[in-house]
Amino acid sequence: MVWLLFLVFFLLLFLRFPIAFALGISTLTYILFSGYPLVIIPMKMYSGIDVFVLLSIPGFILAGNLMNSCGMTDRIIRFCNNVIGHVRGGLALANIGASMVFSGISGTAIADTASIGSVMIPAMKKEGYEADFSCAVTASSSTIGPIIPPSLPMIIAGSLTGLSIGKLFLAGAIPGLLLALGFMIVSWSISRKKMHPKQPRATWGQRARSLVHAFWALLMTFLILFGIIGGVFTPTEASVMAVLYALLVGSLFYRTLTWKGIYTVMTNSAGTTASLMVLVGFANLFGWILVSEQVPQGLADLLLTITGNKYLLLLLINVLLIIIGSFMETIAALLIVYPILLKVAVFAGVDPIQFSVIAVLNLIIGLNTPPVGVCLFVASGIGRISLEKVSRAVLPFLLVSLIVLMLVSYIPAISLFLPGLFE
Amino acid sequence: MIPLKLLNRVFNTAAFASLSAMIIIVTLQVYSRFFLEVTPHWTEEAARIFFVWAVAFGTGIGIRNGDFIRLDLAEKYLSPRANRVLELSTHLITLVFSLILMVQSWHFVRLGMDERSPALEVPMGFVFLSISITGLAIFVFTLDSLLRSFKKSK
Repeated sequence: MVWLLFLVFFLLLFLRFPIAFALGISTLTYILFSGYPLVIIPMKMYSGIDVFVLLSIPGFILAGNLMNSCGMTDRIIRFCNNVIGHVRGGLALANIGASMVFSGISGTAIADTASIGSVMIPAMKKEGYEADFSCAVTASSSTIGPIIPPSLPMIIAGSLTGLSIGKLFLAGAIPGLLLALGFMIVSWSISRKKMHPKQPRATWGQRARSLVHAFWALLMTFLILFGIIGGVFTPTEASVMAVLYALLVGSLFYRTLTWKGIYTVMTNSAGTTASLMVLVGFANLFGWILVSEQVPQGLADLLLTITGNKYLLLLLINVLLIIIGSFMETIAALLIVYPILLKVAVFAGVDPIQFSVIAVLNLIIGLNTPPVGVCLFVASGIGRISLEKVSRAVLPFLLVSLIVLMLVSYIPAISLFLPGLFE
Repeated sequence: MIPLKLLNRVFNTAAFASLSAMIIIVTLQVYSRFFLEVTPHWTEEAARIFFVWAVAFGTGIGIRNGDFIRLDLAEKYLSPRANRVLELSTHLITLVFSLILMVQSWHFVRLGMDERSPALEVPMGFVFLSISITGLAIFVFTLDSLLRSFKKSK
């Protein structure tokens, strides 16, 4: 009977239902046919949402949006441009650098693509970069966002498993830096071949001034990270502190926040949060059906009959996750398949923290692969260029992501070294 | 047909209020841990209640802003007419679904009226009511999109 659940779910996805409703309606159909009481729907939805750690999601979304609306994005971009703009293809490198800094306050890739892309893509095109290259750089660099702390996927992973969110955050830091470094190398070598423009070298005075301007964004990441890891704050408390911090910086130092602006940012953040949480609620319902029909156990047994070897199993899981990630949105995919695969991986002897990084990396790679590369889609919209062209231009960057994925999969120290320091 | 302006304002204000309350309560929790002798035991529960309410009202805003992620696989391969029919039917199915969600969550609310939350002793039915509001939000704002796509096709 479980086939009915999946059949209806995929049919609805294809018919352009929002993923959240596709999960809800397919479960409803299943329940109608199998005789569970319908009241399970609101019950499981509620129990999926009512989790204290999840309260950090509106916090981080709100803090990111506040920082964004008080002009932080422009400051970060200016700073990165002053530091690295004089190198060949400097604007592209600054784009990647800005994504890395911005990721510390945003935590989702789409927000990153949209806010940095809307400044950087037009700027790059104006300077003579090809539109497809500009979009590809923006889309791929914004996938650094969900892996560098604070990271929404990691919060979700922690809430599903009870793993320490502080450790999950730390585990993503080095892989995130590796991604950024790899993207920069690829971007630089493409720029050298295509003779992309340089910019005049900024003076040290200009650099220092723009550092002061962008300083508050950098400080916020550190405060969040050390607040959580040092045990000063729970993730939820840290996210609320980030909100207060953003309000303070925006209203006292930058003086760009107005009451009306704050109100709009808050209601919009509530909308973004709710769209994620309704997804979480229905995924909890969907997952409950899967568990009561013993699907995870079946899948685990199946994977383990194919191979018991840890390394082959990881490879198999990686392939599976990339395929899932290219069809499903990160959080939805995480909610449904991550808990199942985590069991298999842990059974084979992979560390749960390391596996969480692997899973998140896989799913964010999916943000940049057709057919459902959300970041590609947003970037191509901003750059006004066809999705096909961007998809081709993003290939060298995808290769970097895959290399980092392999490194994280087979060298545990890359993800486990930093969390290990705080044992 | 439906007083959209009023609804927008209600959902915006309620979402803003719930989210603000959540932030204030968590701030209070941090403040009291650092600066007061006693930490109130009810803060976590209260923050969670306001969170589920913020989600309930936020759902309306999310649907209005198009925050609910969907795949656009079929769109390219269908004629404009087929796409319009598809859009109308997805809205209709979602409406039916949200009605079922509302009815069922009402049973859930009634079940919860006898149960009290551990710290604040609020009847859990009031907390569960947030799911009914989520259903209502889906219903109202989907109805709005449905009516608008009707108008477009005329």
